[in-house]
Amino acid sequence: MSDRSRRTLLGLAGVVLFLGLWEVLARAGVLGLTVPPLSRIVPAIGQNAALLASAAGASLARATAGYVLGVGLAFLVGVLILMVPKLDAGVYRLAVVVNAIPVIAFGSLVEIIGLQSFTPMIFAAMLVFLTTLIAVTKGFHSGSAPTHDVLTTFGASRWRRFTSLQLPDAVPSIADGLRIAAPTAFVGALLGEWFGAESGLGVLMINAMRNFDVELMWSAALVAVAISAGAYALLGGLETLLDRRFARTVQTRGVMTADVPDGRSRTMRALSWPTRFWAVALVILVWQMWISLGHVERIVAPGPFGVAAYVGGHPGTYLVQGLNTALAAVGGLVLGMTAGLVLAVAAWLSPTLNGLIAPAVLVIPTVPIVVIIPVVARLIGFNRWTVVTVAVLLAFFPVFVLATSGLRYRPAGADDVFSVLGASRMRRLRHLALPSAVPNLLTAVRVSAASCFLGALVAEWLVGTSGLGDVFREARALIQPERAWGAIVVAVVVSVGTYLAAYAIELRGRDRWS
Amino acid sequence: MGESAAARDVDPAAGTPPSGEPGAGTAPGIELAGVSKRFQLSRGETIEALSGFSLRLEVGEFVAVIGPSGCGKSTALRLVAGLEQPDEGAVRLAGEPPAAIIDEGRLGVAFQEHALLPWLSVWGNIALPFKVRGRPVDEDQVRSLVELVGLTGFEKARPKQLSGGMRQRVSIARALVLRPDFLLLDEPFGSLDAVTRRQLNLELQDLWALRGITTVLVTHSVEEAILLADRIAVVSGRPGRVVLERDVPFDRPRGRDVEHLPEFRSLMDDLTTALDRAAAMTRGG
Repeated sequence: MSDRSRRTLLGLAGVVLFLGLWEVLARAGVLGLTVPPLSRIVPAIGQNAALLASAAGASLARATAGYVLGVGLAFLVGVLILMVPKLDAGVYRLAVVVNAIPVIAFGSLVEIIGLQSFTPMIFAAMLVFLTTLIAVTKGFHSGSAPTHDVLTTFGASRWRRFTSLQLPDAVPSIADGLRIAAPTAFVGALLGEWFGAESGLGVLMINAMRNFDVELMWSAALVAVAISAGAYALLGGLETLLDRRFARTVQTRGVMTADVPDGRSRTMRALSWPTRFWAVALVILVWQMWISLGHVERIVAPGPFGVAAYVGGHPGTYLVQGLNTALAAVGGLVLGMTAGLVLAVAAWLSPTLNGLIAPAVLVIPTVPIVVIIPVVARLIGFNRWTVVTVAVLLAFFPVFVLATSGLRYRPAGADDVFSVLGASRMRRLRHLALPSAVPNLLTAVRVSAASCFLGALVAEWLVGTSGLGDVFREARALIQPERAWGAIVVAVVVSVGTYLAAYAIELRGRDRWS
Repeated sequence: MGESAAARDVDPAAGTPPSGEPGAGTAPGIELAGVSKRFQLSRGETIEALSGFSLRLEVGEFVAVIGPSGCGKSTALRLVAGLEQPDEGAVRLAGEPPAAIIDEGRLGVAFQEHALLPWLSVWGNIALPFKVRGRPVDEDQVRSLVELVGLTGFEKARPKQLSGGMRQRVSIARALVLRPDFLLLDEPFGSLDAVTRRQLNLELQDLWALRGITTVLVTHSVEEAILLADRIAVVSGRPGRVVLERDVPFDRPRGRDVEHLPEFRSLMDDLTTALDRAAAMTRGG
């Protein structure tokens, strides 16, 4: 049997094993009341076909609209940055900050502005915009400098250089971004639906969760995963086609690498604060102007200074609640990372296990994790453990995927050297594979640290356990705008700080380990 | 062309029985006997890299294998290193299969890609074979090798802080640190500029020859082969086999003056002619 067909068979066996285990354990009642066996979920999908189809259709339409809008905007801004390179550093900082704003704050914001019915589309567009912008910017800079110089010496104009060199150079990276952004659009649309949409898979899942209709909840979750994976596969096919045409010299395909900014030179370059933070300052300014010029009532939205004053006046509240959230996030991060690393190492050690879980590695990037928070809440209960579990899941998946590829990425020729030295599998793991994986693990920490914190926040908001997320929910309900937005500002600061710290550690670590 | 036997004007193995069995009294250092190797391409096609490839090294002998790109010389080396298995024929080191020699830690290799671990220092990289084999690090041995390859003072530097030539020195020190009986070098200086390469050849030529390590060097530089080897085998492909073997008659150490001897020029001419013919055959085949 050829290697390829053996891998395929093992993969299929893995899928069958997973589904079989689910069925058997659920039937035996080991997984509790909230995990029904597949044999009950599949008929439920059939029974609710009309409901699920209309919900999925509504979500898909919003996701698609948001996707097109986000990609279009990202492309425009990407070209603008390319033409005016000075904007670069600032836009990147802004992207980091916007990424750090909890979705629950966006939901309320969109509501305040009065665009509530467009929330899902705006969410989708925003998430797509960030992913695509980074891919586009990375793509424009992927061309080789000599080719660029050759064109310049031919007297090619700025525009000519763009259309005949930078644009084609960017195609592989953009295609990569388009693929990664597809599930993101779906996540955005479903999350947006939590904030007052009347139909859609997101609404269906929340309602099913509250009504304890576990079959319907799982049906909706499975449909969501299937659509997300389908979109990912479709755009993966497009990417393969484009790759064939625009042969890539640099390997850019990779899960979650699109948000790795080309940081070191940029950090070095932009040492002065104004170039780095003009966009962030602009946001605060626009916020203030919106409040003053639009005569927005304090009850609707407070100004930046009011919020700052409130936070300054109640440091204890935010410290305690912030620590609550941070503790859940850090606990989840550590547990999730350990589990992800252990599984990746086990798969590295055992080719059979590796073959069995190969399909999971393919599907994981497409699973909209934040969207399944309602499922987790129903599963674990409305308590602190749901918050921790969400953080565990948010850390586990990227760590597992990045560690898996990291363990296989080794210095050229090192494998042969170890073979000739007669290295045992364990010594190869210890002296070669694990150190090789360190840079990827550091990336995983950066990717998951902030998202664990933000995920914990969303979970707190949804299940109502103490923490910054709950402060926001409660303060909104009691109409204490400064208190509510203070929680968001603190969350953004913590999350940006976490991201930048993790990023600094990653750069140092990469320097040390590769 | 079918004239390999006629072209073999020097046969150092003549007079010794072609047996590679241990205990025969004249067990060779390294022997490849009638080795064939095929590789599977996509869609069921196969490519024959080696066919009837035979080469024999006495204990302590240094043989350079030269040949055009794609002639299969690196494949032959990988077979000796146990990294590939032959489809036909046998590969023996001191009468044993490569796997047995690897188990005993008697094999050292250095490749064109230095294959250093970026997270380890010069010292750590040279000491690595001890750790990989689960043996205590012999500090004196590591220190003497650092000195031997001229890297004293750079023990704490990491590979990316070194020049290409220095990285290859580390790679060679690592290959020697376990005091191997066999040394396999695949274009160890192939990625270096001509000046550095020449300098390293001059400096390091005695490193292996004087230690009595049985050594195979794969290269496509005729000068390098003449400077370093006791004997030179020319390989032609494809499939690859040895078409010419020549002894190198110069005393050691060989300095730059060797290049001015008339024997050097004629040997150089012969080998270059054979290489040109091999290149034409390799392309045609």
